[in-house]
Amino acid sequence: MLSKTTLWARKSGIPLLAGMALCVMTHVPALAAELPPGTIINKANLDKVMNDTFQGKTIKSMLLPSQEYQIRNWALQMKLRKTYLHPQSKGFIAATKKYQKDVKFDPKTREVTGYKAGMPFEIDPADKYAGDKVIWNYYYAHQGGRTQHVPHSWLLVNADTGLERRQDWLWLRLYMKGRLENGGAKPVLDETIVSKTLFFVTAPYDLRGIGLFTIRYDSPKLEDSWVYVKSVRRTRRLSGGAWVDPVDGLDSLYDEIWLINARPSWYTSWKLLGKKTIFVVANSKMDWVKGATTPEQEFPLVDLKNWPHWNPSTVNEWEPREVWEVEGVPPSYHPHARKMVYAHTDPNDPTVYISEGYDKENKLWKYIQYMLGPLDKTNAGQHRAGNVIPSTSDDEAQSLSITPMGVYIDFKRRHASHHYCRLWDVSATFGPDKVTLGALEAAGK
Amino acid sequence: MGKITASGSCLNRVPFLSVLSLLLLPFFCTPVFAEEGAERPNAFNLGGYIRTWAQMNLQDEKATKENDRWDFNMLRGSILLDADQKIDKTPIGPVSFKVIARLDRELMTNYLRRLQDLSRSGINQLGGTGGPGDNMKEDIYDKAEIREWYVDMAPFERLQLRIGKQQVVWGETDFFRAMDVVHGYDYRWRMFMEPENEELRKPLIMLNARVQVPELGGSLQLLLRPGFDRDKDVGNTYDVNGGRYSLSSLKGLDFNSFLKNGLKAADGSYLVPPNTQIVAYNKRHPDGDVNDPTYGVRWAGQAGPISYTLNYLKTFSNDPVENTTTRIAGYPLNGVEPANGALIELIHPKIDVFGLTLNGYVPLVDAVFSTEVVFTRDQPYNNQIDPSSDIVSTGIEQAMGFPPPYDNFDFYIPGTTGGGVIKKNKLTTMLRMDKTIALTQQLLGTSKPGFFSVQMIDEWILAFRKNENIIDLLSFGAPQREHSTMLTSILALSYRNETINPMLAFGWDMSYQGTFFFPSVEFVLGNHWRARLEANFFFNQHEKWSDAERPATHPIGLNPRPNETSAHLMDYLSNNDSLLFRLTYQF
Repeated sequence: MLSKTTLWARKSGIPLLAGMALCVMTHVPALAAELPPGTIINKANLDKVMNDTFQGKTIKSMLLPSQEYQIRNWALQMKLRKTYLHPQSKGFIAATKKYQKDVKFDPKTREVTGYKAGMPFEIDPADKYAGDKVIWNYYYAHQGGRTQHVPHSWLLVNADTGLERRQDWLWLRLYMKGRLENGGAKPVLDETIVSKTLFFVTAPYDLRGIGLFTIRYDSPKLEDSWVYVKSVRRTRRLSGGAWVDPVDGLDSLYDEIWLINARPSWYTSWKLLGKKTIFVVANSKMDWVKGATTPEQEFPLVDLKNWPHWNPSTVNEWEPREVWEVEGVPPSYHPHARKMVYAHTDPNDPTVYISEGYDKENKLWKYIQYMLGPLDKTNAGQHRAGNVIPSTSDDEAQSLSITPMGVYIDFKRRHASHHYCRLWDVSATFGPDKVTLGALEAAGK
Repeated sequence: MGKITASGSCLNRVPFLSVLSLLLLPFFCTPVFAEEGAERPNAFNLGGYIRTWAQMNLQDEKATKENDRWDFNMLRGSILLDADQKIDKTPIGPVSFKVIARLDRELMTNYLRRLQDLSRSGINQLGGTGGPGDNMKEDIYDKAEIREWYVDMAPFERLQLRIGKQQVVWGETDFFRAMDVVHGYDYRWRMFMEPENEELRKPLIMLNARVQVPELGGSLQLLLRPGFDRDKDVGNTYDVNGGRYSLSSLKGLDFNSFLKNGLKAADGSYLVPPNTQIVAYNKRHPDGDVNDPTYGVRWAGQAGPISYTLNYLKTFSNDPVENTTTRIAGYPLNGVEPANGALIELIHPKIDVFGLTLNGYVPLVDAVFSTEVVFTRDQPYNNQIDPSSDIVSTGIEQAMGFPPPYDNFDFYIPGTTGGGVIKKNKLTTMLRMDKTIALTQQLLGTSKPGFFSVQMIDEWILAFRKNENIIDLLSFGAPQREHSTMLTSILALSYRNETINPMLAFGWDMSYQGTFFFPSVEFVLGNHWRARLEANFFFNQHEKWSDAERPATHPIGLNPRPNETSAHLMDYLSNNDSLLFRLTYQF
């Protein structure tokens, strides 16, 4: 016979509460579990893992809305890995210490003077112009090496039909500033120029030789660009305003090459919204399979097989990184009304991982992510043989991050372009005489 | 054909075999996605295309009895192989070799057969036959040649050398050419409408040296053409054989034909011996000898926001002028009898060309402005002393005993009319604006801003004297004005990541009237296939022969002699409207 107390307890629902408590005790740990490296987040388990943690932070807090949107609607999968931060280049750190004090930011023009090498600015979130300075850091202290020779392929993908076309390009960029001083090298080759770039198609046949020669001046004036027109075997100057136009046939604007390809002051504003930790791919490796018989085999970093055919494959591993969240407002003639940029907070790493373009209705239009990876002498061997040629000199050790693959997704057009690097060579010792308009003409043979 | 002219000579056996061996190459090596080898040591690349053209008339050609509208005027196929081999380590650094070969074959359409029949029927009742127009397929359209072969090297720091048969393009002008006169063009199989003008350009054997001078922000280019080229590789080649791109009223008329029976004077003697060629190319004329070296120098630099080039070129006048025998004309022309006993010869006298080009971006209007100013010394022209008379025909008729008014033959070729060759200096000026139009994305839904270009080019004959009666073009008699000005424009659009690319090209002859309009659309189908649909429309104001004047059966008939004093460029091209479909498979 049950006691009065027991009866009271039953009537008052204590067993139910106890059961609920037990239930909570058994389930709450599952909802907030620490996910192990190797976990794959996808549409099927997203709701389940949102409150779980990885390296102590909830998945929900680290997923960008644009990433959650892709997981739910575009079959994006993220394979998690533990964060690994690479040792910074000593030469770069030394250059930052030596030259950062000389760099001046003019709030009136939002222009910068006095840059020679290293990181231009230390970021203070309280600074009204911290957003500008994050972008200036990226603009001047760009990763990937000061002398870049990068044959790569562009894969043009339609969400509904898969891989449509492939174009092979050569990227040849010589930075005239920001060069490190090891071996007695000068940090600045030309005070007036930031970089010279050759960017041209090497295949298919009808496009072979078509490309750009661009001089990026260290001033707010627009870049000088020339295009080689294969059909008439002649170069032609491009409008300086072309920086907001799409690159021929690709889903990238000229402004979006390397995520941000504009001088920061061309934007109306750059505002630092805050600091957060997000998922990025920062330990990718060059992985082009030479001689493969199918595109799926040749380009394993992209999941060309499965819909929507543009997602990074699970060969890529995502890890939490702390980033500056910066909002850019481009000029009115720019196709995008707003641009979001996520840049590493490390004071000696200017890397930008992801950018988002929003249309005039503030809807996500473009998502661009670079699958980055380290490049230095010590880890070159990790890449597929022959894919990477690191610098033979510490002068080029600034190649902290290279880009084995980058994806440009245009959600409106249901179309994407990937640049897929076949080789990353920062060992070249060519000078300004090799990056010229004449060289572009010669490439068009 | 062989016997006619050097420029139209038979296929050279050695190049043909070389081409054949190149054509077999794909069967022995799998074509790669071309530049995969760019990062390979000692890379060998093989690319190219297989291309077909099908083009139909949109107008009836009056020269034929049949209605030619909707008939094909071109069914053509080409295979082009483009191979390069790089050798990374040599005593002078990396060296690369390039060979480009092209094989062209055509089917004789019913329309071409009709033109060919006209040619075989004899010119102007004189009985001229045996020229390329009698055998169009083999002698005009079918070709097999190694178009380019050269070696690239950089033996010294900053010096790039390209030695061999190659193409060099100078200047800025679209459609027309001011400074781009290093090479002649072969316009016989397609006029200037072919979008890849590299396929029309006639490569030359040259030493091409370029020295980079970064300290001065530019490069110096030196060209030397030692004179090893074949005769036919120099100067423009037009369809003077009555083919599909012969000019209005000259279809079926082969100027390169032979007077098999000659022409006898009234006294029975031969005025023109049998087998005399009516018009022959002479590429060894003292004024323009292919074997003579030609050369040029060009500085390309940057002055602030302006890119510029300074050019000098000693070369041949690409457009030929006509030198007529004094035996018939009875006038001293340029003092040299045509070679090989021809009645008339086409020669390419040498000229000096001095050019300046400038281009720069103007942020205020977000447009690129380009200009080209070219001074040509001793540009040869044909002129006529008496525009109302036809000296050659008159001379022939007089000699043959015809009574006045000597208008039985229409053999009205300017330059044969008494003036001969006159040399003048000329100044060619081009001004162009290129602008991208973002509005096309909103208005027309293009995937990127449309490209718009408008260009004006003016040719100014210096020290012009009207009474010198400089004529505009061979076989047409209209006098040229002091200024001849053309306005052209392009609007290029693109859709679906540049896989659908419509383009409109427009031209207006501001001096002599007439327009052209070329709408086209190019489809990019994956990596390999390209399709192009294009229409060519010409709107003329005048005509060499009006319909009323044109004989019903044949344009090259007897009286009435046409009035030729008004027809100019757009009039030459009148009645050539056509619709083209082109399909390419590239590898």
